[in-house]
Order: sequence, then structure tokens, then C-alpha cells
Amino acid sequence: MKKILLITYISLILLLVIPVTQGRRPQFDPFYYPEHPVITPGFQGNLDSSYVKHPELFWDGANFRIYYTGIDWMGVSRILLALSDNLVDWTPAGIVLEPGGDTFDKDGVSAPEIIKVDGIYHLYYTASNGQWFQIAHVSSSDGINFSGQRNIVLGPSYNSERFDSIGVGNPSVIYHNDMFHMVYRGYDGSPWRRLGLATSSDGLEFTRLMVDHDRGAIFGRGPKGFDDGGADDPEIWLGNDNSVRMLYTSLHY
Amino acid sequence: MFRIGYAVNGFKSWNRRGMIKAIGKENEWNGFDFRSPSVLDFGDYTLIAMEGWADRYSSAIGLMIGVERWLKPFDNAVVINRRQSQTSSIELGNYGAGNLTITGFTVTNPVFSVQNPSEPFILKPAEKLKIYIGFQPENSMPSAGILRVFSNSMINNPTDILLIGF
Repeated sequence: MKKILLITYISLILLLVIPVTQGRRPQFDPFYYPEHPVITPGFQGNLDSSYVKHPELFWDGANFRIYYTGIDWMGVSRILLALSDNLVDWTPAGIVLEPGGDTFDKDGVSAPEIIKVDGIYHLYYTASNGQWFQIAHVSSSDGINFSGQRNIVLGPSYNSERFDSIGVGNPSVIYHNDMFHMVYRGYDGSPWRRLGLATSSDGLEFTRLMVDHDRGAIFGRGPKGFDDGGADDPEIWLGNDNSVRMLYTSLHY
Repeated sequence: MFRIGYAVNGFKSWNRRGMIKAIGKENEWNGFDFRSPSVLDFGDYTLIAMEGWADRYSSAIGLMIGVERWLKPFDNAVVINRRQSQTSSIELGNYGAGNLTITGFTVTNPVFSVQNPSEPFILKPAEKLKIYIGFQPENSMPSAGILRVFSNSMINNPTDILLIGF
């Protein structure tokens, strides 16, 4: 009988106290995110039924957006959008960019990079015409409707001495000191992956930085370890101390 | 094998800082590979979206958060059975990337007491602190209270821990 009374008392106490502690949920629960993906194949039906790749996280001041590459069952890659106001519940928002017609991006658009400068959303992406990977640009006033002119802003160097001789892609761009700075991945046919830097004053015409080491790359293979195969998918940003920081996909064979 | 690395001090030259530990358990969405990071830096914390792979063929997009200071108890409650002992303990860890300072403790029920030496305590990243809780009831009824830990943690601050004594 005493045991039953004790259990009843403890249960009552728990009922009274636990809701108080649970009601003070943090704005973000760090444990949640690593264990549960927010976008999986089929999130937008057939548009991304095979793969979801290359997320680009963006905060518009009121909502979070993820621009990403969705690949359908035919292997067609498009740039899609998902929206959320709490980082937990995401809503499909459809296609942001389709592959073009008979153009430089007719075979696929992927790896979106969004920056907003002076109220204009600039979308940089990897464009494929089936032969070359190039970096293209299109702008928008709302970050959702990108129906304007598409242009190539950086193509292959066609210089066999360089790391980006046959293709460029996966751009990351920041606007800093009145200049657009782009870090990108270069292709030269080798298994090693390297990153290059290009700059622009208007965000439309980029000039490569010429570096005379590592085939012209600013970042390549690391010492023996997790990135000794090189780097891909760069993401650069300005830290709160105004230093430039970078996360990247590391490759280890 | 694809992972995510971190480097600083660009643009033309970079210092490698190492690899982000974001690998999941086997068969989880990021249990095989993770790659293609995207960052939102809000100063106190950083949100990272990334592409995760459960195997060679299954991709997904997930989020993780990096915080500068995060105080987290190893348990949600301290239970003291006075027939066994009049004290119990709980451990608090700093899960953030920077130093964390614990500035004070309070308990909502005077039958419980914090028996540690005086604060502040500074916890370095990944360090933990064991807090001892005393229980001296006035009668035989079970009691409950809240231990409130004040710190400069960016999450769950103050940190509440349920106290139960019987």
C-alpha cells in the first residue's frame, strides 16, 4: 500500500512539474537536426524523386529557404525551393529554375548559390549543356521567380596547365568590399578536386585569380587525411569578426 | 569518402582547421557520407545545411547547428532516495565550441540544496561539471523541485533540472 501511495505521489509531482520544464522549449533543438533530414527524395513528387543535393540555406528576414538540386527519375536536374518558418516543417515551393532550351544549360541546372545585393537576388548555378560545366547567373526581385536573362559568368579556362581547364561549377559567392568574390570547383580530368577564386565588380563578369601553384587553384589537396583527395562544393561566408571562412566537401580516396 | 572540412582566413590562402563531425549512425541519412555544406552565420550560432548519404544511392538534405556555448545536463532529473543516500549528483557538459561560464544555481524547494563550491565555473568545450544535490525533507512525503542553473549558454538558459526526493 505504501508503495502504491509513493508511486502515486511521484506521478502527481511529475505531472505537475514536467509540463513547466517542457514548455520552455529552445528556439532550436540541436539534437533534432543531425538525426532527421528535412528534405528527402520525393519531397516534391517526381521533380526530386531520385536525388536531393546541393542545399543552399537562405534567411529572408522572416522565413528560411532551402534552394537545392532535385533530380528526377529521368536524371534531369532542376533547382527547387523549400520554405520553412521554424526549420522543422518544410513546405515544397516548386521549381525555381528549369534547364534551358537549346542553350548552355539545356542538360541541367544544379548547385544553386543565392546572394542578395541591393534588393536583387543573384542566383549562380552550375550549367550543363552535355559537354561543358559552366557557371551561370540569373537574377530576381523576390528570390523565387527567376525568369530573366541567363548568362554564363565563368566558363572553363581551356588552359591545360590549369585546374579548371575543362569545366567549372559549384559556386559560392559573397559580396565584400564592393566586389563579388566567387570560389568554385574546377575540372581538369584528374581525380583530384581543387577550388579557384574569381572576382567581379558587377556580379556578371568574373575574372580568375591567377595563382602560380597547384595548377592555379587557391585550395586543393590537403596533407594525408580527410581531404587528401581535394576539395569540392565550397561555401564561403563572412564571420562575425569579418574574417572569410569556408566549409567544403573534403574527399579522401 | 566525403566529409566536410573547415578553413579560415581566405581568399587567396587558407588555413585548414579540420573536419566537422557530422557523421551519423550506420543506416541513418548521413551515416555513409556528408557533403555540400551551406551556412547561415548568426554570430552566436551557425546553421549548416548539408547533403547526407545513407549509402551510395540515397541522398537527403539535413540541418545541424553549431553553437558557441551550450550547457546541457546529462540527465533530465535528479532522483534522491533518502534510504540510500541524502545526496545525489548530476553532470552538466559544455557542448559548444567556446568557453562557458556558470554563474549561479537556485533551487525552488528548500529541502534541496546545491553542495558545490562557489561559482563561477568555467567549462571549456567538451568539459563537464558534477553538481551534488542534498535532500533534507521535513517529513516523509515525497518532494519535488527545480534546480535552475544560470550561465551564458546560448540554449536553454537558464537550464532547469527536475529534482525528486523521497
